[in-house]
Amino acid sequence: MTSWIEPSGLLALVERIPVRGEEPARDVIMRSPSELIPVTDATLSPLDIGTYEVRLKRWRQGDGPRLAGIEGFVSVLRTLDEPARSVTVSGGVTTYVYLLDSEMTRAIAAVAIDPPSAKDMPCD
Amino acid sequence: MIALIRAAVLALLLSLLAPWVTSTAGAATTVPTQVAYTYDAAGTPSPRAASHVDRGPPATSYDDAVQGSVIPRNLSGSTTAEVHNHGVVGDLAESPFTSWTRDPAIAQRFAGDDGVILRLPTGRPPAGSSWKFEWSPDVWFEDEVLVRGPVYGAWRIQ
Repeated sequence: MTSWIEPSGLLALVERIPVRGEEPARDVIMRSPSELIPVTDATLSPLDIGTYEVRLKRWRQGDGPRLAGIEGFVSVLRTLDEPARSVTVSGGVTTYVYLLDSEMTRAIAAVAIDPPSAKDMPCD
Repeated sequence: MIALIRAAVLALLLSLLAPWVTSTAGAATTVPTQVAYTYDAAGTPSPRAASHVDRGPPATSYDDAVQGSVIPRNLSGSTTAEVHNHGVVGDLAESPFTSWTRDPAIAQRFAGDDGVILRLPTGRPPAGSSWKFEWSPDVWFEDEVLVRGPVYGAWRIQ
């Protein structure tokens, strides 16, 4: 983690991405408006594609957390032809993971993660 | 007299710790002892455990995995549990952790149909173990438990 972004800066980048979890992205990102958000280094494969393929497959089979935007997110990960960075922000309920271009001027993809629905939660 | 007793106790302690401690340029460095779990003929781990965590290592770790070994990519790396959980490639290369799960189905997913699955009993690792359990933020609801340090002698269940 070598870079940081201001919450308002991140919000401006991601506002046009139509991925929405239970908590709006604005609420999650602006939760602590004065705290800088860490951004990963720019690399051609910013996130481990194998791990995210497993997460996509699990979602397709109806298991695990409720996800919004996961198919597009993994599709972008598979086909990235430019270095990108990732940012993760968590609210009280929802976590958003974003891919940004290396200059942090553009959001490329997003996924929203919410807890599994009650019927899928283990009983123990 | 008290000083003599103190010196004797100190010497005894040092002799007991000798296999674990080496001196490098005057500074004591703890060297992790590699302790393998043992299993009886029925495959029950010793010490007995009421629960366990599993890991489905990636194919790139197959050779180690078939021997029950799981080696983090950088034993002294500074990658945090949060970053490891997010799967950030550059930081995974510097991670002292490996990912395990309380949910066997998750381990199966990561292992694939033909992959290896390893198992560790939960609870406090035996004294002198080279690894320890650590908390994961588990953002992806995978019942993830992180293990810091190398594991040797994990039970291969698949």
